[in-house]
Amino acid sequence: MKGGLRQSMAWLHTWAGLPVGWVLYFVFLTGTLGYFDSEIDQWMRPEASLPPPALSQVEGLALALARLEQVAARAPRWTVFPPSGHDVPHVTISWSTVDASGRPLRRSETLDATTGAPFRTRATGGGQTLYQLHYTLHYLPSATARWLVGICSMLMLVALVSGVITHKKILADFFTFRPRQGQRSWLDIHNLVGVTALPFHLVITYSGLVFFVFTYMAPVVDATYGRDGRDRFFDEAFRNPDIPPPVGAPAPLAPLVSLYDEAVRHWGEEPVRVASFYNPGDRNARVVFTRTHVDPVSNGGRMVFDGATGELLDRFDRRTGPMVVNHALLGLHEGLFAGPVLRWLYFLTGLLGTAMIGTGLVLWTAKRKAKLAPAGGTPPAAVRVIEHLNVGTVVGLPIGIAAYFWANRLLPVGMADRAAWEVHALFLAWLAMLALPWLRPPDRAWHDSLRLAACAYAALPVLNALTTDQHLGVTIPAGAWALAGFDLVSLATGLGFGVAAVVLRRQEVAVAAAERLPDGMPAVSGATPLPEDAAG
Amino acid sequence: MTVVAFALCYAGFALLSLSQARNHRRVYGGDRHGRRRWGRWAGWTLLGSGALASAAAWGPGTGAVAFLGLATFAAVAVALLLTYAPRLVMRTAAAAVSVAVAAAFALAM
Repeated sequence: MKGGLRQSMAWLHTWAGLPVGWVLYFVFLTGTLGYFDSEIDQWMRPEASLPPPALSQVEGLALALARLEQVAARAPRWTVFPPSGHDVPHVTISWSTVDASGRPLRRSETLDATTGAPFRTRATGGGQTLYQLHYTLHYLPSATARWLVGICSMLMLVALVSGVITHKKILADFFTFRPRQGQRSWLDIHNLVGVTALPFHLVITYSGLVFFVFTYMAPVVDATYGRDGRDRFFDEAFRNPDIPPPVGAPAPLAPLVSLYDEAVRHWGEEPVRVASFYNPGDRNARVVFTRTHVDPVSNGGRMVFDGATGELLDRFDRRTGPMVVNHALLGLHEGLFAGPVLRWLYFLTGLLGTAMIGTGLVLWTAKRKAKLAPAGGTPPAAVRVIEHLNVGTVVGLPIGIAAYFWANRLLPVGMADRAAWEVHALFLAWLAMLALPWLRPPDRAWHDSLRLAACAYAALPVLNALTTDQHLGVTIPAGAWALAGFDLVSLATGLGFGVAAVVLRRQEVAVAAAERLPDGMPAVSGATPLPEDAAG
Repeated sequence: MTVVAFALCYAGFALLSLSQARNHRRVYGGDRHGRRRWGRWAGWTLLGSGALASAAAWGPGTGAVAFLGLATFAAVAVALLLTYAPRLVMRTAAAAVSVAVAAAFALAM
């Protein structure tokens, strides 16, 4: 670290970003896919993916209760997600039970509105498991994963802030992109996607930390509530409903329609995101409605009813200041309030964030290789290792995600642990792509990976057509845009990787030609070089 | 309303980009200070109108999120056009304003 503030910030930006860059790339990409988790769910469950019949929330709740009384009459708690737009197209129920050896177990079902019975779908992780990867990291214990993601997010924040400070001409270069100039072009893309989407990057990273704030900042809670008082803290902070124990005297549930009407009166149409039934069938039954997300701060509202009498016991949607901030940040992160336009914006901006991290990683090696190039030296081992990790992750991870979708269609339906093997396929394919650069020269590895990624995505709609009857020829005429959208986005992704492969190839040909020319005349004349130097 | 908001953001960023000395020189050859200052005012005004249009369409909370998202891609579009077809920046901005006005009228009918 030497020189002025800008130099030290450049140093900080580089060394905060690099060590966690690959994890952040994974977190951003899998998290971004979460904005279309419901569409991915539908695609991965072709048996249940036909457009659901229009079902009102009340009808959905009735359907759920009928099923729960049948299969979970003795469970202490039922949870129902009535249909609520994008995220919950079908009624989903869950309840707690015990397995054969007496261990607690949660069961859940997605109900077919026409029969009231659960869909018989293939076992799959779907879009849910895919997006949960960005904070579970799958193979790690949850506490470890939370801390790891937290440390990476913290360093991401450091990299964002130091990146802004070190950017010499953040306003003058706001619209700058100079193609075909090697390292400078990478820097321009890195700056462009970083700066134009900066509000998103900052909010997503900061709010990501807020999700697990009670893990990271546990001592703050302990200082007031004591180490054993954490449950009490959560009850008070989140105003968790006070649920009495069952008295053992049976009593039927009050008619749900009146409870629902009460919710509509206060919250408007389609008000219920989750309906929880505590002690169902008991005189001490409680029904708790949690509000749907209609804007960034509307989540967290709750109504508590006496399940036997139907009396409204407690309602709150005005929360304390800190809880409003907390809910707003979580709401902004999840984007559950987003309609179609906003959801696409979230998705595309998430891809910009992923691109920012990817270009940052590539830039690190490009810079160091460019320094070595005139001397003709081979890069040191550390640079080579990082370049290998870059190829294996920047293109290798998307290939791994494609493998997840391929596995969903190709693994036998009756296979044991099928859903788990879909995820294994993701990580095995990624591992293979990480190994590739060790077997091939890095330049070749970039080509091979890009081509493979292009094929893996472009062929997904074909695979879908061969293995299901819900291909583009059916879904587009039927207007089933969730399913058609998946196939079309796969095609576009394949095309994108294909174009990247062609561009890379052309550049290499141009560079090789330039090296053969005398006096190092540039073989490709790009836009007029600008007098100002690149930032960073 | 999405179209109106995006078109206003796009036109706003286009004018702001052309009000920068370097981009102005590249597109128009010379540097006319008065024209650049006018462009800066008009650019910010259009961008502000984009924010208002978003708020009108989605409400203040969701509208703020939508505005930032639309503005991001408007800025990226302007940057790409400045690189590959700098002469089109002003023309597309004018077209965007017309589209925004026409769409706003159509919605008001």
